[in-house]
Amino acid sequence: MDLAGFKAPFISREKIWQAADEFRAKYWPPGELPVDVEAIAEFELNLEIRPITGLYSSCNVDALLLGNLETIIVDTGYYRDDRMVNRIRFSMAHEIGHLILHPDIYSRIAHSSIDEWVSFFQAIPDDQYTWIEQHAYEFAGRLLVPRDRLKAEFEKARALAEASGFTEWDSSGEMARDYIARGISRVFAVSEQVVSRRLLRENLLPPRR
Amino acid sequence: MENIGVHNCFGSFFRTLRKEKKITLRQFCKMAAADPGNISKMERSVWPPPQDRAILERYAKTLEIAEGTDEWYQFFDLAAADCGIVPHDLMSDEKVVEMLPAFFRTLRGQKPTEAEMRAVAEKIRRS
Repeated sequence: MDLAGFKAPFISREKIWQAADEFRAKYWPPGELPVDVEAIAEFELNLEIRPITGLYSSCNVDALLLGNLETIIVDTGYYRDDRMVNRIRFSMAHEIGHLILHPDIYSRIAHSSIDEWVSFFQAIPDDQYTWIEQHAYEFAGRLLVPRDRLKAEFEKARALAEASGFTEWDSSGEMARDYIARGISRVFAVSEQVVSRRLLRENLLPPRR
Repeated sequence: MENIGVHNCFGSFFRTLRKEKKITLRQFCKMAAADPGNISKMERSVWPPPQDRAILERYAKTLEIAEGTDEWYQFFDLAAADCGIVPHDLMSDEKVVEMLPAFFRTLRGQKPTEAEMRAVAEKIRRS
């Protein structure tokens, strides 16, 4: 592969959303939340989940899909820690995103040694690498937080807030968004940061009058 | 789904049963008070199954194997047969290269450093 000319593929946000929605529809019962990506990975995609000690502390990585495309390795400490369940779930959804969105990249990459692999990645322009990662983030967010359910949960939270006299959606910015996201995030078993980002990406906040 | 009857090693028999019962690795480890790293290694026959009868019974019951059934006896027979598994040597360079990942999910999506990449390769080798 020509490293100097490496370009991340352009995949529109709408295409990523469509891929995530289709994936969920194929592998998960409609309307059931949270979406259990671990079950999907093991039972539907036949992926092996392999906990590895010290993956995060040594490598700054909490999960990744191996090049055999059959194994997701996860940090054992995070995997065992009940407080990290949502983070691991999001990481797995992210890795599945790569599997679904980037099969062409996998098929084009081949290395003959560890040194060559390291050199290859270090030569990829940062912006191109970040762009590829953004695809997978968007996929994971949409997969775990379906738009219709997010909208329904947001409307419930909005009605409660407005019944208490809150109307300053436009001017309250992050504060209102974070407050709303905290309550909604439990429904989807994701972090409040994921919900907060979904509310913006899905154009639900500020609400339309 | 693999045929339960054809297994001749404990790890693959165990894994097939777990998947057939739709018990995720996380659920199994929580229910059986087991370490996920050890169960993963046992399923891949990298490590031998436990030889403590009480632990094996706990695992068998978590896998919903009814006592006295063919599955129950096969479970214990295979565990006994695999007690001599010697932990694998480290993975060869060639095998590690096959497993090297194409992408990393690091904090904020930035590219991993060279040191982090080499650490990942070493972790894969020792997995």
